[in-house]
Amino acid sequence: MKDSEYRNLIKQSELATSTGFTDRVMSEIEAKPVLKPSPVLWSKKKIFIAFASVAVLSGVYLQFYWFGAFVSNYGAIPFFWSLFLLLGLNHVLTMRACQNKLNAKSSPVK
Amino acid sequence: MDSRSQDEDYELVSQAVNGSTASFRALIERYKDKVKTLAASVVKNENLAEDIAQEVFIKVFRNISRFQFRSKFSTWLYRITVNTALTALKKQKNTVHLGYPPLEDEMSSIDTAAANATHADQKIFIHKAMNKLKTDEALVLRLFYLCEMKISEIEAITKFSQSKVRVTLHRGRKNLKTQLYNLLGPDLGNLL
Repeated sequence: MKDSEYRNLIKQSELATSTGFTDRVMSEIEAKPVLKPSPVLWSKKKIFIAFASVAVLSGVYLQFYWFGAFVSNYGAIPFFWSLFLLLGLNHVLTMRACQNKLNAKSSPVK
Repeated sequence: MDSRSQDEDYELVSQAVNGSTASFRALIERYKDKVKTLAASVVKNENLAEDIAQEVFIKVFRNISRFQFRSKFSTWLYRITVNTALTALKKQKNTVHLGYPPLEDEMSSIDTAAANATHADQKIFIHKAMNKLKTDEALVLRLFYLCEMKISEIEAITKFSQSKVRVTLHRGRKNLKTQLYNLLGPDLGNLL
């Protein structure tokens, strides 16, 4: 058999999609909006990163403390309190953003 | 595929990235049959292949912004098709399927000689022969002859080496001829 004969035979083996295939795909696409995975608030990875960050920051703090880099007029403690406060604030805001997204999704009114 | 067709693909993809559903619809119309046929080469089942084709176009729509315009759109699309079909095949092997009869069963009722066969019957003989080929042979043959991909593009789609593609192509041609001869005997000449 020649190459052109194989080509002709295999072209005949093409399967046609059923009627309305394109419409079905398009309606499926429109029916399912892209759902981004909701952020995991307390994963093992996050906890590990938090511990590592605290360890690194503590190391840096202990290293440079003696040079007075972190010591303000109010002493060294406010630095850590500010850091924890900011982390806590970030967590609360992330939670609120997630809650708003969920409320928006479940709301019947668009 | 010629460069004009490739330019048209790029144009449609660019418009689809910018949110044109009409352009994406045009891409589906252009490739739906080839995607279904490639999927059928892997899963050997027409109904399942159609479901896979649907899944492929949904995946492509979701990820179209990731297309880099470095390769042909068709190469990217066929790569997704082969991956999705292989995943479906793995799932099918792990579960008992009641809903999808094998393609061979759907076609076993046809038993007439090619000389008396209508064009539609001839197509069924070809499908039957293609379905008896190994997955890699059917896939490579269809990529080469139906989708008109080059050896290097088939390499990118299937992740086979170029030498394996060539060997598979050679073996596929030989086995297709044997299968057709087994089905039709000397009437094979009437099919060509």
